[in-house]
Amino acid sequence: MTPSPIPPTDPRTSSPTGPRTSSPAGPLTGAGNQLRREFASWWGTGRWWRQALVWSGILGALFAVMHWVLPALLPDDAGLPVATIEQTARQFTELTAIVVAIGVVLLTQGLLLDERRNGVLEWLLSKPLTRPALIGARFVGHGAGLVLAVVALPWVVVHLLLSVAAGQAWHPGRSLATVGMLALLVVFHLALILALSTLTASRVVVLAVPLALIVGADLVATAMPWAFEVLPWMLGRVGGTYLAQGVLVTPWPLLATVGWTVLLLILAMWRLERTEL
Amino acid sequence: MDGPAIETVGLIKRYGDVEALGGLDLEVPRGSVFGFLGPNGAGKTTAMRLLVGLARPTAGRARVLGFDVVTESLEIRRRIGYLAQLPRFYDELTPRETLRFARGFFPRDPDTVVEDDLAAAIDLVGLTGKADQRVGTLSGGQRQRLGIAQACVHQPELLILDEPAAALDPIGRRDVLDIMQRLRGTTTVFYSTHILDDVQRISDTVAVLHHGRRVAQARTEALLAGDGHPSYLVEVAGDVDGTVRRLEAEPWVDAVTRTATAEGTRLRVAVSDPVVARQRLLRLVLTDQQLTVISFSPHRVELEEVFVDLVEGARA
Repeated sequence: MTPSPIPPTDPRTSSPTGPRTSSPAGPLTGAGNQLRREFASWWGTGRWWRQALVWSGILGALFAVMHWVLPALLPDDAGLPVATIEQTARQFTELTAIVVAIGVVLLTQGLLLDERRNGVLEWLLSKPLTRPALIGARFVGHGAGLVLAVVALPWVVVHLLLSVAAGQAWHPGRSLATVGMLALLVVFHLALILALSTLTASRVVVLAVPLALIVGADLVATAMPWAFEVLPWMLGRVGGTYLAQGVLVTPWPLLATVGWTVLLLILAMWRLERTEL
Repeated sequence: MDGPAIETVGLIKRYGDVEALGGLDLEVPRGSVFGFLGPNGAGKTTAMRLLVGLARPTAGRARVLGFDVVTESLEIRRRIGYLAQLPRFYDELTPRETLRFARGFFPRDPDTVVEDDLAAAIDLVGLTGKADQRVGTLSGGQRQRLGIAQACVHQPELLILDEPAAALDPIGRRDVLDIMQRLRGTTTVFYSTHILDDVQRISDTVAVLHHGRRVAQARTEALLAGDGHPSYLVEVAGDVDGTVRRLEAEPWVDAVTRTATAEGTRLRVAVSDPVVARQRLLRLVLTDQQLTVISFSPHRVELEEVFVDLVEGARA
């Protein structure tokens, strides 16, 4: 009987320094390690609570000014009707959507640009990390941090203020749904920044395009009413109505925002894949 | 495994109208410490970026450890360590955290193995005392050492180092070269430089790149041996015309070249018979009573000389 031959091995997978087992390479290779790093940049530092504190202050102050300070400043003989808590809740959410969107743009504008400029991106991409995995990890890691620190935790303060202003506990379901819509707006803007950062190396463009869209979206929706259904920036109005009345006027801005976010992420991955460093 | 660690054939890279690499043919043997030599702008960094997959070739092909740089870049990056020319890391991390993060991209091992790898890499580059300070506080030299450590931390088969000692002071340079010496035998080291002394000290094989093309590749000792004809240097003060004529008339003298020096003239005498030259050359020069001999020595070819000859030859 002849001994069975040693099965052929792929010589490319052997290492002179002692082979180490490794899982097959895939499109998300390196994502786990990079995601741990992105999470650590939020939760491993004081960043999350500092941001949560700042945004609690901003949103709390905004609500207090709208509901208590401004009416107190108006003269009694102005003849203006007193705003109800429902009206304040709606207007506050619309304004919060704008403020939060601008905040996210300012906080994330350097996410890829800075690393591209200072050489860290080159270092990362010299490791077994695919470019889609880098975009995905950055989106998930910073998306989670931003949603929690900019919207979810500060909304606890907003919910308390709403309850105080209403004289009774505010509807938790309405608050939760509104937080969900604002969270969607946050991740949409994060995806927008990531996509723009792969399209241009200009910080001015990365900042100016989202800010122009945030400011101009209302004009577009006024000029073309059908656009209300597809513009992510209309989530503030949808959320405001829901917070005030518990009514979802239309689901389309929500669905459209999910769609835009996915499209922007695909664009960012596709573009970064073709970027030479 | 057989085959070279790096092999490129007609590798071309253009940025618009600018040709950064003009058809590079290169073969880096496994286990070598390979010096990739060239003046600034020769295309060394471009070639390395193509090999690591940070850029795509315009034409030609390249394989690293048997893998294609375009279609199998991820497989390459799983097996190599890379140091960029100006390495940058997360400033807020410490060197130990940076290495842990870099090590995390490679096969998962038990924590004890990973920590051993980190300690070994920190020790290799002499950063033990700085391992827990923030990267943002490190000097350029320490950052460069960290760069080498992060490239080595997963024990790669191949190290690609872009100008690893260029930005360092003499002591930092010596330390980095020592580190590279210590890696000899355990991994293939492919590094670029324009510092000829470094190449002569540690490289066993050298390729010279000029205007995006390889103008020479050989083992270092073969390159330094030149054309195999020995020569001697005689530095003299006084009128050398007569002596040069007498030397050129000797059958064992191939050529005499003269260079003006601060003290007189240096004659380089290429000879066909070194034994005869050793016996007769100095005596012949001394017969001229008008000349003062300042020095006499066999000529040792320096890499700088070879490099200049090659680059200027390519330019011509």
